[in-house]
Formats: sequence, C-alpha cells, structure tokens
Amino acid sequence: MLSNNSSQQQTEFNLVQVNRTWIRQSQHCQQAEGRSSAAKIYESKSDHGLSWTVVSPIVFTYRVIQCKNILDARNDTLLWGHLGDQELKATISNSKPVKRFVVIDETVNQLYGSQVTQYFEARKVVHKILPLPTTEENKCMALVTKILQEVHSFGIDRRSEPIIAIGGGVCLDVVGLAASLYRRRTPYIRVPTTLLSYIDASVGAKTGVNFAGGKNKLGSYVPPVATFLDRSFVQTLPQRQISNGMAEMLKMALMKHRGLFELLEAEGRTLLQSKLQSCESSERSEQEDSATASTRIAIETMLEELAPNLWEDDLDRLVDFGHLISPELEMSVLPALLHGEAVNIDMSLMVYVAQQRGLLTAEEKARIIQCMLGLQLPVWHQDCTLALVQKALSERLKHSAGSLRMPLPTGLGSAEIFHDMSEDILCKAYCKWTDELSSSGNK
Amino acid sequence: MGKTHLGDTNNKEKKTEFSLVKVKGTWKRKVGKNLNKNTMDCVSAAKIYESITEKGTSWTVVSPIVFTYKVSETQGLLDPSNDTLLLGHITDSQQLEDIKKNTKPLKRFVVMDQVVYKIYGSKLTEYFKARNVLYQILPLPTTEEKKSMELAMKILEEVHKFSLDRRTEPIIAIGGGVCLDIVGLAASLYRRRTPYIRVPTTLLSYIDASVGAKTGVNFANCKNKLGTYIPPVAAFLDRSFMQTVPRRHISNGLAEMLKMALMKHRGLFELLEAHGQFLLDSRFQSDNSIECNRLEAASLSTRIAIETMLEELAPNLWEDDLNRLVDFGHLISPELEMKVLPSLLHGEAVNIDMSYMVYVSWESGLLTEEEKLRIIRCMVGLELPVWHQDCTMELVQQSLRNRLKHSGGLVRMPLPIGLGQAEIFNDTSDEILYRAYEKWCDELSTSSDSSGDP
Repeated sequence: MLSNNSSQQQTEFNLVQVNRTWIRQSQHCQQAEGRSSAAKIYESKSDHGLSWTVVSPIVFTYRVIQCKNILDARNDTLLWGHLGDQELKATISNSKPVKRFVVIDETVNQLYGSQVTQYFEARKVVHKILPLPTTEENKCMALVTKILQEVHSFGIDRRSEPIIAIGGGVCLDVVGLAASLYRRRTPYIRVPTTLLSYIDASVGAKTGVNFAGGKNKLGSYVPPVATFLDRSFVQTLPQRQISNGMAEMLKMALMKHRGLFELLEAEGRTLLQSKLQSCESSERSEQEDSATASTRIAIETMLEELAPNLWEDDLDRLVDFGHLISPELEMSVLPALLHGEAVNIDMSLMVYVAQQRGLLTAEEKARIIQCMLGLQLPVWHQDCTLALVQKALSERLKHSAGSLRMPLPTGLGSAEIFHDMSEDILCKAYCKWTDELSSSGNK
Repeated sequence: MGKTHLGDTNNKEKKTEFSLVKVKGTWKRKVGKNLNKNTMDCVSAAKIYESITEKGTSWTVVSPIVFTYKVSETQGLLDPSNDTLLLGHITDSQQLEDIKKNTKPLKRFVVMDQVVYKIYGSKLTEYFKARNVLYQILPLPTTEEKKSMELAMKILEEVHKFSLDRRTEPIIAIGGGVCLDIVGLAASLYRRRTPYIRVPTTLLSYIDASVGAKTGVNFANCKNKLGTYIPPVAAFLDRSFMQTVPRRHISNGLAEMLKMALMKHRGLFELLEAHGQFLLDSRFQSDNSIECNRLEAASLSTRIAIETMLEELAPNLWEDDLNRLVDFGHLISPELEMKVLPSLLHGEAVNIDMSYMVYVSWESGLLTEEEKLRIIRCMVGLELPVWHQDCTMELVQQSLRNRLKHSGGLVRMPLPIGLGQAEIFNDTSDEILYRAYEKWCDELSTSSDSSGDP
C-alpha cells in the first residue's frame, strides 16, 4: 500500500542559476550567487523509491487596450500595442523588416480588408492576410490546421511576430488555438469586430473549437499577448448582432453590477440604435456616455472574474450564468440561434428558477425580462424543451466534477452559485416560463 | 495604490494597481495592499493594472498559474497490490482517504503503445479487473511516422465516447516518448485541460519525455511543431518495463542520459564510462546477486538523469528562456531524424549531433583532445552511432539556420566546456564549424553509420 503522503519527509529545493546551469539547493545550504527561480522541487522517499514534486508558476501577462481608429496608418497600436515601453524601444531600433500574419473573418474582410491591407502597406510591413469563413459550423480542428499550414509556409519569428486575429468570437477562438499549438506557444493578438467578442471572447484566456457535436470541447487557456478594442467595428454590425453582444453584457450586469443593469434598462434602446458608437459631443465631455460606460463596466467585471481563475481551477464561475443550457440549445438548433441569443434564453429561464426559489421578487423578474425584450433578445424558444434542459443539466453535472454549480441572481446585480436543483422547482419554473413567455415566440 | 503621473506622451495617465478579492463567491477588484481579511474569502495572486488616458482605458492582467506535478519511482506498477497507477497522483491525504472509503468503482482510460500492449496488455487488464476498475485500453501504433494531429484526434474520439470526469479521472499513457507526447497533447486539448498520467516504458521516455511539460506531434514534416507545455499530474517510473526493451532502445535512452552528464554532471559521465556495458547488458534491472557498486549503477544513473533534467526544466517550464542546456544534441538532430526517418531512433540522432558538437567544442578550444576522446569512447561503449553519412555539412548549416529562425535570431548553441560542464554560445564561426566537421568525418566516418548492434 502506498504510504500516507503527509507523513513523508520532504526536502524542499530552491533552484538557482549559476553560469547558465540550474542547480537545486536545499534550504539549509548557503544560497549560491545567481538567478533564483520561483519554481521549487520537493523530494521525498518511500519504500518504492524517490518521488519528486515540481511546483512551477507560470505568469501570464496580457493587455486589453481600448483604442480608436486602429486601422489608421498613423496608429501604432496594431503593430506595437502589445509591447511595454522598454521592449518597444528595443524593437524600433532593430532594422529588421516587420512581418505579420493576419487571419480575418471573411465577412469582416469584405468590409475592412482593404483598410487592413492599406495599413500594412503604408507601414511597410511584410504581411499575409488570410480570410476565412469563421462560422460556428466551421469551428473545428480542420480550420485550425488550415491556419497552421498557412502560418508555417509564411514563416514567423518564434517570439516577436504575433499572429493577428480580426473578427468575431469564432475567429478569435480558432486563431487562439492555432497560435497556442504552433511551436507550443506563439504570441497572438485579438481584434474583436463584434460586440460579443469585444466584451467576452477577447478578454479571457480561452481558445477552442467544437468537437463531436460538443461546443468548445477542445482548446486551451492561453491568453493573447494583447487585445485591441476599437468600438468602431461595431457600426457595421447588423442589429441582431448588436443584441447578441448585449446578452453577454446583461449577463455580467445580472451577476455583479446593478449599475450596469440600470444602464441597460434605461439606455438599451439607445445603445442598440447608436450601435454603441459615441457621438462627437460626448467624446469631448468629461462625463462618460452610456456606450463607453457600459462597455467599460462589462470588461472590468469580466476581467475581475477571469483574472483570478484563468485556467478554471475553480469550477464555480459566475460567468457561467447563461451557459448551462445554452450550449445544448445552440448546438441543437445550429445555426438558428446566435450564441448570445441562446445565452439569453438560458438566462431568462434561470431568472424564473431564481424567482421560484425565492431569490428574486416577481418585480425583479419582470424588470429583467423587460430589459431583455428591450434589448431585442429572445426570452423563450420552442426547442428549449424541458427534456433539453434536463439533459443539459446532467451534462453540466458530468463536466463540473459532480456538482451543478448553477449561478443564479439573488437580486439585481448580485448572485450566488448553487449546487442543487430540485426537479419540482425546475418543472414549476419551466412551466411558468413557458406560460408567460412562449407568446413572445421565436426570433 | 493609485498614482497619477505624466507618461512619456503628453497625455496624462492615471495608473492603478488592483488586487482581486473574493467576497461571497464574487470577485472584486480592490485598490490598496491592506486588505481586510475578515471581509473576504480569499485574495488572488493575480493582479489587474489599469491605465486611463485620453484615448481610453487599458488594463494589464497578470495571472500566475501554478503547475504542480509528481515524478515517482515505483516497483511492480502492475502488481494489483500497488495503488500507484490509480492513486499515486493524489497529494491530498484527505482526498486519498475519501476515495479509498468510496466503494464506487474507479474509471480509467488508457492509451497504450501497441507493441507494449502485446507484452503488458494482459497484465494491465488483470490489474484493472483485480481492482474493480471500469476501464478501456486503447492500443495504438505510436511511432514517429504516425506522430500527427490525426492520431491525437483518434484518441480524443475514443476518450469522448468513454466519458471521463473532468478532474478526477486522469487519462493514462503507457509507452515510449511518442505515446506520452501524443496522449499529453490530446489531454491538454480535451476540455482545454484534462489530467493525464505518464508511464514510460522505454529508457528514453523514462528520463526525458516523462519528466517535462512538453507534449506534441509532428507537422509539415517537422518534428514537434505543434504541442503544449502542459505537464502530466504525475509520471510513474518503473524500471522493470525496460527488461523487454531491445538493446538498441536502451542505447537510445542512454544518449539522453549522456546528454545530461555532458552538460551538468561529471559523476554521471564517469558512471556511464565505467558501467555503460553493464547497464546495457542488464537492461537497467537491479539484481541482488551482483556486487554493490554495480547494483547502484542502474538506480543511481536514472536518479541523477532525472534530477538534472528536473533542475533544468522546472524553472523554465514554458521555455520563456530559449537558452537551454537540454537543447544539447537537439540543434541538428531534428533535421537529421526527419530526413532519414525511420532509420535513426531519436537518441541515436541526438548522439550524432552531440558527437559533432564535441568536435566543435574541441575545435573551439573548449575541450582537450583527451576529453574529446573520452567522450567519443564513452558513446561507442554505449553502442551509439557517432557519425552518419546523411549528416552532411549542408544539413548542419540548414539546421543551424532553422535554429536561428526558431530561437529569436540567436543560435544558442550549448557546448561542453569540460566533462560535466557547459555554456551556451552564439558566435561560433563558420570556419570552426567547417573545420570541426572535416575532422569529425576524418576521424569517425570509418565507424558504422548504424547503431552498434552486432
């Protein structure tokens, strides 16, 4: 039988680099002169032999930068925004020609492709632009392989020539995965062009593709070196896509930020109509306009939740709200529902569950649903059957290490995670939800 | 801790450092270092730095992720009375107790090299049956030629059908380096991270592939072009698997051992010099009838090899630093290995590379003639090839050009500067490389260009 680990003698070793060679030193030894590592090795002995435990921290650092006119040739951001001042100085003094590989969503290419090309030509950057149909149905390993083949033929430096992804969530996820795999890690940059990717896909570490009918079953947690947020891309989005992005904004509001909720309640319509563009006068004023405020708060709240849990060590995640049922729903009706729409339907049902459990008042529930409708989001769907809901929840149980981990609002802008759900409450909530909202129909 | 200052530009910049604290399940950013621990569940090691200028707000996220993994020697891994294979990765004693008390059968998915399966498959099956484990064993031809994304996807299809718990049912890989690398990659991708365990069955994988973080597959005819740096939760090292390894493959593993010796450990070098033949003959099995000092050679050499490797890998798990002593023997060998696939094993190619580099060292005045001879003699004693006709000067130059490309513009060439000491060089002249090549060919091309098997 394996001996009880806690009773084993463990020797802790620090690691010090002396003349390019790393050596381990036990605590009792005189520290050698040299660079110290944050990593440690613990050695212990048992009947079977020696055992070593390696503890190695890897620090992920990435920037999320708001900017305007990212495709203006006078703007450095796209090329250098990922570097700090020191690195920038070193790079600029290097006379080597700058090289960049860009993956751009096909649709985005039609709208902005020529501007992207002009940017690189004006800056004399050796570049290759790869337009791809980055849709949910194409979000698979084969697309990743295609990108890798092109990147490999083009040839990029291992560390100093980040791959740039310009597009919506699917594009950013797929390129992120390709970059994570190439040479085991290749720096990449995200430029989100939809509202959804602006506040969601761009600010976390997740990359991925679908697999075996399951959403995002394969991927990595490697963040980009930088994300550049230029809200002007959102102008060319169809209305439906704007609403789509608002769903994720609403999610953060419901989970953590009453102020954001009230803003969406009051200004939702205006934000939709203006496509979250700030008008000239508001730019000059001291006060933040609602488009600026709402996107800023959405990102801040998202970063708060993601930064301490980048690799999902903790499976209790508020940002999972709206994501327990929606993956099943989204995949089963593909491509009828956009991601945010499916998320909203999930959230809508969960709001009924919360009310049924006494966590929300009827008034709060009504306000939330009103807000969703104001954002022109679907609040019900005929394919979101009770059977689908139950299946999704049992999948959740399977994939979340045996506990439901259901985020539910406990007020407007506050939430908690629950580990159980009675069938009875679920059914009652589902029935009320259908009774009250099915007349709003499908989108 | 907020501060306002003028940045390099004319814009006024306000910078703030935020800590992240968890209060009743919700993370909140907080300024300042004096955090009241009574009001929070915990503080994160991550930080957010906010910078506000006229252009807008930017944030820098700094998030440390701690990788922890075990490398454990064990004996009789497939003996049903040995818990290691099933529970050896668990470090929390409470968790261990809970599992032992729980009568629910454990579930495990195993990928096994098909050659290893022929020899040990039934023993593994008996182990799982005796321990009442729900299992699936997937035997695969994990060869260098098949080391591709396709094979990784095949594994993923089977893993997905089998249905594993996200965190508590690690995938087990049993085989040589190729098997461990592919399974590691598949596990890294599944659900973005799935725990996996490595059981190396060759000497090479025992001291090399099993103890680091690298996973990978070949791509576009290049070695290990795609992969991750995700370590297994544990690697279980049982030397008894080596009994069934052909002699050539033991030599193969000895090359990586020699690499560590040449770079960092004179004692290991002397051990290989003195006992190389014995280790080959005995297949690294410890035999109680043999006299004491020889008995030690197998366990001692593997231990030193692992310790030196861990020393070099732990502080540089994700290769932030491209200057790596463990790259010795790996500048030219990837090209060579892929060019003549499958005629050279990985370690054999590595040794040919090292052999040439020893000449470069000597030509550069870093090694004496005697040291050079000792090293080459040791390599020959380990029955490793020290020269190869396909390792032409063009291949050497091509490899070094690729190295330059892939290493951020510097060649970062590790070279021995004594027996068991090394440094990294960026400025070895073409002249030296060429002269060393000539001498290397002159002196060694008469030895066989295949492994030293009789």
